Amino acid sequence: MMAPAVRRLGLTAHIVAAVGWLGGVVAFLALAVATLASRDPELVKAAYLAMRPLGWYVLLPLSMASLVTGTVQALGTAWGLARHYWVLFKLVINLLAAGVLLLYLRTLDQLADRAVRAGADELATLRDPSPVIHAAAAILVLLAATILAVHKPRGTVPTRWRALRPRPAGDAD
Amino acid sequence: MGASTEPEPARDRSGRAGPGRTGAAGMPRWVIVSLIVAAVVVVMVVVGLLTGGHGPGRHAAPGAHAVGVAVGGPWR
Repeated sequence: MMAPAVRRLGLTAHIVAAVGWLGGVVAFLALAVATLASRDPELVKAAYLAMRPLGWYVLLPLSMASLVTGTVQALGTAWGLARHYWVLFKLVINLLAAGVLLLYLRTLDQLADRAVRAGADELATLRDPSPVIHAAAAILVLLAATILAVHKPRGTVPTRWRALRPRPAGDAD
Repeated sequence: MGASTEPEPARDRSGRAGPGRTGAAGMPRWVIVSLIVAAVVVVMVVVGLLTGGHGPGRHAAPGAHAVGVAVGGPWR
């Protein structure tokens, strides 16, 4: 088990990463909506170009930081990684969201490359609802993870299902 | 995905959920509902992938091949 000070530091890091990830996706959604709503070709192109570094340098690092800090926090406390359903669900959500993000960065690269090549009269061809759909879905699952973390709904995974051995109770925090 | 520094609720220490909160398999109801929703979403995504209406490939220009992840980085 982690010392209380280390535990609080880890929890702070995890909250910063997870909430930062959610905030980054909201910013991404704003840019994505701009690509669909704006009539200014330069703004549409700029939004696509801005989404690429936002994905690579903000969303991806924060998603990995959330995954690592959350895993450390779970393993370092009596909550465990696969003892409570809510922790397990958060782990799965984080893994899936980070995986989809990693795959979607390729699409972002393609959209940005297309925006660079497109002329001012090709605005219609640039518009793509995909970033809005993915960002909206990401916000929903990250909100679900946040709600799980706040409410911690009851329910423990049966011992025979756990890949990790249960940890002794007593300092469950 | 992190656990919290808050003490684990006493009701969870027994590993038993309260009456009316578990399904046939002993899972809490919220877990069963969440799994059903997740299964529906997975089926929808798989159908989308199989029908070609979803996935990164649909954004590629004809004849183009994405090199984004392989090359890496947004400053290309």
